Amino acid sequence: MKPAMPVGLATWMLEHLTFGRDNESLSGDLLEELRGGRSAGWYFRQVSMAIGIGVCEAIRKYASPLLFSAGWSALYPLWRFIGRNRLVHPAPDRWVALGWPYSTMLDLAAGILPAVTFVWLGLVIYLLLLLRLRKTNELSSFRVLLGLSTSLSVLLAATIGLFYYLKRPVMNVQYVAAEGFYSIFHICAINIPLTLSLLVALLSILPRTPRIARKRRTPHANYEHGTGSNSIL
Amino acid sequence: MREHNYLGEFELILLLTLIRLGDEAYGVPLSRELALMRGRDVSIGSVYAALDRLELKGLVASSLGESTPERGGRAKRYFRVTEQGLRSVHETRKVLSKLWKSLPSVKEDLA
Repeated sequence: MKPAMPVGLATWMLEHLTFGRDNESLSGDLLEELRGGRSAGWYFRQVSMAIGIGVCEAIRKYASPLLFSAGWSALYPLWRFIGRNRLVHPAPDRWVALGWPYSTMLDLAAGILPAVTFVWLGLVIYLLLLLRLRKTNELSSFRVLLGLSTSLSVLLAATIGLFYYLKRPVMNVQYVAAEGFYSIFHICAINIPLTLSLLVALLSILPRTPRIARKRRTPHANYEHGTGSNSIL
Repeated sequence: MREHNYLGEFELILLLTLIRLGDEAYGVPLSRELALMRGRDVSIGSVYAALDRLELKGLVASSLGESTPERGGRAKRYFRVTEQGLRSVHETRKVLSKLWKSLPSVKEDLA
């Protein structure tokens, strides 16, 4: 087997399956070692481990918002039960008389209101937990507003997409009833849009890992904050 | 009370190796030195992952160096320990030394 092609493929994978990391210097180091006498097997093991580490870091980063979103959306029947006579107008006959498109818009708004308030409540609880655990103190009001509006857009888009896919004749979030909610269809129809909506909102609000701008090194540079030698120890 | 950020085992080893290598600390010599010291091969990817974490904490800084043909034209990334990193090394060493000294007679057996 000629190693050139697989090595090229492995390098391409390392530089493209980065999960937000900059692997250019890492791939340069691996190539330098390979050309310095390391085997192709060693190179593939190093590339596999580097990609695996990137995957693990990405999972660790997104695991808690994803688990929280999925867990929170499973509580939706309880939310519907609590707000059954408060969040949805019991007799929406008045707006039916308004005619299209207002009647449809109001119907849709009334249908989606319990879901939106549920998602936003989940968002607030998650952020309060984060602040309480002191895992972040970098929440900006702009990002919170962005998260709220994103969650609404994603909820609408996911609901429309899912109902279109499932060929439901009526697009109505009120379709959810406590009875039989945990059947497969209900979990798909309601939990996926709710989970997606909350997850996207959380990801847009949470502070991102800062990108560090790296300077080009000049030969014999006298670093301002660095040590450069072990004399300080 | 002042908050301390003590270093983990691998982080401490990395910082000490960086200090030892001085200005020439980039991925290749760093992983070779680590392999030599620890007596086993290291994953360069895990070294970079740990260095990225240390850089985010402000304990390490990096800059891009020259790119050579044997690296496929890719730039080297040189690392150095910051002042804050040095303080962390000192604090961790103090704590570890205290702990070692406080051990009962077992210390002779461990040595």
